[in-house]
Amino acid sequence: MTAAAGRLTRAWGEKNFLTTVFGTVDHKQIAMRYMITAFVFMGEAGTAGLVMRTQLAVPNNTFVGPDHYNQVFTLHGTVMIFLFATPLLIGGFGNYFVPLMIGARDMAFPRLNAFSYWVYLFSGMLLYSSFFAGRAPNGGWFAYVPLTGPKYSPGTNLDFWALGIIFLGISTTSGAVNFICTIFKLRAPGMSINRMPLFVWGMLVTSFAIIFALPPLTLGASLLEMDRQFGTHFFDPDAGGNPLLWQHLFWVFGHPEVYIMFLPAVGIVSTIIPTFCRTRIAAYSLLVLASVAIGFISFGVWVHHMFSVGLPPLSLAFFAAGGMAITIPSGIQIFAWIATIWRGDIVWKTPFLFVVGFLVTILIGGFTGVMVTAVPLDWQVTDSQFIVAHLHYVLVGGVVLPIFGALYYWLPKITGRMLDERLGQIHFWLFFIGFNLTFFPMHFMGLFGMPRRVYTYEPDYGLTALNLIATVGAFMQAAGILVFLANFVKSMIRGDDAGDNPWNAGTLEWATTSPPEPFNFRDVPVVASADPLWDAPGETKWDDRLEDPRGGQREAYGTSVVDADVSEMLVMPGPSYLPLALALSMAALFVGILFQVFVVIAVASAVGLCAVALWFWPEEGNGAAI
Amino acid sequence: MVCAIGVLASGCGRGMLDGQSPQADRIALLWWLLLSIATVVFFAVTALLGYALFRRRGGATSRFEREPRSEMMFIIGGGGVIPLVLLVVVFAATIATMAAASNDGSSDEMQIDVIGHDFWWEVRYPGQQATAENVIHVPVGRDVRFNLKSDDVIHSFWVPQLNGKTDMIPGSNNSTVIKATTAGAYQGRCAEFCGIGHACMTFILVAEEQAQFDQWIAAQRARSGALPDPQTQDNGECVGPKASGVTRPGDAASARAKTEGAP
Repeated sequence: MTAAAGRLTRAWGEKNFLTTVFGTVDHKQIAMRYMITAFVFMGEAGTAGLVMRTQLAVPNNTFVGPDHYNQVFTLHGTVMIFLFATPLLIGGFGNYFVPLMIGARDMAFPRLNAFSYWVYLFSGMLLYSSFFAGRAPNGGWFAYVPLTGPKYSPGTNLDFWALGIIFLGISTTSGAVNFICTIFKLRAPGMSINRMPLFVWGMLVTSFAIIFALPPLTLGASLLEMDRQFGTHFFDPDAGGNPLLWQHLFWVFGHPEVYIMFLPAVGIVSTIIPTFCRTRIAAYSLLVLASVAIGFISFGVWVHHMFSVGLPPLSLAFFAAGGMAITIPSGIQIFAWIATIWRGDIVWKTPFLFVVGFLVTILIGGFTGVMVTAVPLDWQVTDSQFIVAHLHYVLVGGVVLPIFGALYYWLPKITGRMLDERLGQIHFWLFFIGFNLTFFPMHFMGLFGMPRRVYTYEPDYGLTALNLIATVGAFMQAAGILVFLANFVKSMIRGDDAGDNPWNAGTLEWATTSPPEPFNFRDVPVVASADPLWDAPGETKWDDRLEDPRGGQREAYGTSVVDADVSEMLVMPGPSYLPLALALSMAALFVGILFQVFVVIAVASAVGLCAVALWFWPEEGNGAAI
Repeated sequence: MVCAIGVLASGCGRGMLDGQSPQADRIALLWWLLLSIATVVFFAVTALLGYALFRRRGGATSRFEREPRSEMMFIIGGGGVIPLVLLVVVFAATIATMAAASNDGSSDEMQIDVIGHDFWWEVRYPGQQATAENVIHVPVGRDVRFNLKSDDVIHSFWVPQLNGKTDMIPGSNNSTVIKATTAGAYQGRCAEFCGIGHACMTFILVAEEQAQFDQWIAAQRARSGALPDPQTQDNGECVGPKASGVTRPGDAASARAKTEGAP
């Protein structure tokens, strides 16, 4: 270790075990926690999926009854979306790789980042604890009123859901704010906005979408909780409330949420393709515009979840057009990727395999997406198994396949060890074939009249064989994931050494060691292109002025929003227990509200306010600058 | 519409593709149009992708490398212009189908009120003092307007062979028009998740000649109304196998035999 690295480690590293575990603000530590937590949740929600498929394997099955089944599909949807895909992409990959890809030393608000994770963990535990208490939410992930209101869902099942969602929203929102500031202000000098990696663009658009999409959900869930606990009647038609209000609020969030997951996944695809085609991405500006356009249009399509509620034809036509319009930027993306592959020189490795799988499946998910915006056709297929097929082609094909691609691509950076290629390919084929076996038949089930969210069906629907195939496919997917876990364990025990840049990629995360030091980069890169590591030698310069932290402080450059010119010197805060304390007190607050224990509410609020006050208490010298 | 895909015919018998009303036929037509477009585009794009992946790379630079303009034309033309043209077609077909499938009925349309309950269907024939539960009879070949309400949570009224879904929302009134062109018994069900008994919330819609229909109405008028036999047990499990055998048009006789025995 050079002298400079030693000095930087003293400034940026954690001092001891306790601060590492409970006080770290290192974005890489936090990101790894996000990833592991998200994977644990995926294991649980995936098991829920297997329970559903086992129950539906044969007609009139009695593996689980309707009550249990309703809890299982509610948890499956809620956990997969809120606690697996979104946090893994944003809190996991985003947190780890956005700072590295833009050449920064950390996120803009490191303590807020730690707070986001703790809130995510505790809200997830709150949601999931309901399952072990036998009171899991059972109203679907969309929680339609009046079914989920006080009259038809007494008991605390739905309170777990609503409060968990509100609590989690705090984490997601603070994360989004953090990403926007990080991406706008902490990019390496020279990384003007037209040189930003496309994954970073995806994260930026997604973060803005979160900021606008979460408030309706939080509002809706709050109104629901008030109806449930304080006797208001926002959604109660008998007292002048309106059940459709919930649907609007939920889907104004719910549809952008699809793109909140999809845009980072698209960014992953735009990252992996150039690396394995050994060529720069085609039509960079169009891909950026496509992401931004999708982010905007995604807020104008929510009504296609509500085509059968009896809205006037003109609004149906408007939202049909809005939904179809998303096809254009998506088409641009697909063709830009194909053009890149066309031009390139392909290296067939596992990450690329997953991306090719993505390209094929997202086409199918896209076509069925157009079908459900065709209003009358939607009247037939909505709430049928056709939609289950469609949404999984979008969310598994369009999001989970890129997630696996990203794991094979980026885990070597995180662990310093390569994953096994052969196991990776076995994983891909098991998962890809299993996925299609599971969900392709569901298109036909829906066309044949099988609705969603039913725990059983009759043998004379012509559905028996289709359902059995789907169940076999589900277990193949699970086998694929087990192969991945085995691969991960194997790589940790005796995986090949990854080196700094095993794939010869062009972006900055590969310019540092694997795994990176706590300070990410010894010297700050000064960027001259979108793929700095592919530049001719000498084009990317390295600024060594931060090598010797003054007073052992965590120094970083703040740069301008558009051109990334160095504009200020930032001193970043170090480890702190306050984020954990605040998150814990908030968790106690939500548990107090859940069980209406006012002592707990009062104490938790007081502790939380103290934690906030201490957090913002001006510190001498370090920690308060940003 | 015909069941075009032979191997799947076994399942078509009660789905949206085996429509028995002008509304369902128009929607099925839209489906076949969209499926055709999607199939052609899917194979075209995967062929391009396949070529891009597996083309022989003889060391020479590709055309896209030499002519960046042609690359942009490929992306904007293939990803933007062609989809735009196709979408205009799809949108026009959507609007046309919407008008046809949600028709305003006719002046002599018949009115039937259907009220969704946890977890059964209350059927009223306004002006005829007749009621029924979990079974709806309609005269064949006549426009029937279903006025849909809910007594508790949101349900959705769906007879796949006759028309798409219309939600039944407490506090509001929705309606849908169906004209069954073939006599028969059709499976209907709740399509919006409504709680523990959702899977069992089914009904049968029997379309029959006017004379038979009048007879049935008379019988319903004469009987004393009562709550129907529940379709669900207390734990939400469905009671017995329901509606077995009444799957296809032409089975109307057996359907009548079953349903008349019921409430």
